[in-house]
Amino acid sequence: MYIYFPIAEISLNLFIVIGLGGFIGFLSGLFGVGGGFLMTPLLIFLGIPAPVAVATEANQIVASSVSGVIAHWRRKNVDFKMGTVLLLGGLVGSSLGVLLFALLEKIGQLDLVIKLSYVFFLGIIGILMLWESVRTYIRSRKTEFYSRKLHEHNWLHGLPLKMRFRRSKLYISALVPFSIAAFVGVLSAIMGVGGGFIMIPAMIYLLGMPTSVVIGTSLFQIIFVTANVTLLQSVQTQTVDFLLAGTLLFGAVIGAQIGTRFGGMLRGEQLRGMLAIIVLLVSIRIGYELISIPLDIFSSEIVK
Amino acid sequence: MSNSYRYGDYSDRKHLALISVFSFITNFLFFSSCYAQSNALVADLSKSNISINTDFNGASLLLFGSIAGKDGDDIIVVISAPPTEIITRKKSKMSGIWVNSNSIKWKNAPAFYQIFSTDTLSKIATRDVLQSLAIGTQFLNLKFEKSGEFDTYNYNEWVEALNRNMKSASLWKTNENAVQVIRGALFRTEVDLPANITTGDYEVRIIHFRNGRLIAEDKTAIAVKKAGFSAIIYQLAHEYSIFYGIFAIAFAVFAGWLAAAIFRKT
Repeated sequence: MYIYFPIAEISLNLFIVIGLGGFIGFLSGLFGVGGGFLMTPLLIFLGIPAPVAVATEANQIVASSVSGVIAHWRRKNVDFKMGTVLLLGGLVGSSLGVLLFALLEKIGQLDLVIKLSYVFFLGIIGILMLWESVRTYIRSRKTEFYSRKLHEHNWLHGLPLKMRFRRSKLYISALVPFSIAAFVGVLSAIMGVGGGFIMIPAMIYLLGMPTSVVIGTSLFQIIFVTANVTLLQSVQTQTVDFLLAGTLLFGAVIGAQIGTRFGGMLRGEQLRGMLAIIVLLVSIRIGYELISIPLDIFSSEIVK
Repeated sequence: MSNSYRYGDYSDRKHLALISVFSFITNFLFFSSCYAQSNALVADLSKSNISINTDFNGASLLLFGSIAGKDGDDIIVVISAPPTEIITRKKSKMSGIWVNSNSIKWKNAPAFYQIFSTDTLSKIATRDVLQSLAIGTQFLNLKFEKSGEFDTYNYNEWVEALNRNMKSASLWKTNENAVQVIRGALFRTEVDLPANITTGDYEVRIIHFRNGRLIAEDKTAIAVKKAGFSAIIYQLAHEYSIFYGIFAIAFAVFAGWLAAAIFRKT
């Protein structure tokens, strides 16, 4: 059964799209990640134009983050004050990202920048995660991945605009989370991801936030950043495919529930090791596309 | 005409009437065969409106008609989308990575161009005849803008690339031996429109050849439009983009909340 997606202007098998949503949803439930970094490349691989894939995925992440934040909210694992600083930074960053996106598309280098960002950031995160989980496994210590806290005082603590974040038990300059969130916001807009895979390590290692509030706070700010991207892309490029986002979402919701249940059966470092390998494979796959000889060095695109 | 009564005398009017009758008769005698011939090619489509709704996955239609022909006559059908802009980009290797380097923007290229014929085009008519009738993508008279550095600029290479890319997207194609002529009187061909076609009024030209010369020509059209739910979404996204964006966000928030609510109990 085929369904024609009116903004992507492509006809795809409905079950493949729901299945893809389900598969990514399963992984995101299993590993506790958003899954945008897997979904966007796969959508492009299915033949969906890169601008539509990125903007539509932002729309879908809004839903999965809302769904995720509710559970963390109930357990009071959201630092709303920190979340607000982060979301302000994220709004600035993602707005800049959408502008940059349009500029890159105009000069025909959007695909290249998307791919390079994927190779670079997934590569780094993947290697760090793999190294961390292998080390944990070898030492057979049951320490948590994010347990190492960077609490020494460094130059970051000398910056002005200091604020107290009670839930995160921090007294730091608001400029630090603001800038980190702004940077991740740019990436979020260009890569079609929530940015949790960069935000979460940054919150733990750079800000020194307790692991308990990290995921909930990250999800909270991702809602606003991806909503901002959805709105700006709708206005600027008209590339948000509401029907595609809805179809993916349907699969993802079910997949996430199954994934969460499976996740409980596996050990933390095993999960992280597996996730690291998936992240690295995506990075290598996209990197290979950049260096291998293209089937045709020419490509043509119909201008709408 | 009251004016002619006023300015001309009776004999002038009489001459005028005679000349008119004479010219009408000669016209009829000399050119009646032409009228008959141009009327002799009649073509129609099984579907002249293609609706792109959410269940669209390409469309098949039948083009058929009659000709006043004889054995050995040929038919060429050309279906083309309205001219649009197409960008062709070339990749080159820069420090180990394949990067889009230069590009051409074609100003008037059809997003769809397919030819259906009874035989190979070169056997039906000479290149000059095909060119004069603009049959074939090489006679599209493409206009373009260049960008980037064009040290090794080669027009043919770019035109070939455009042809190759459009062909691999099944949008430009020559379907030789795809038209069947039955007893020199009826013809038919099946037209498959792929799922990636763009909207617009497609021009359909049907040309009847005998011994390499044009005998008759007819034109019709296929209207390709978005329809139903698909059209509504497209229209909202383009004409009310702010509301569309807000709606997309509201829907996602609602869906996320709904999912959390449903799976809370289980």
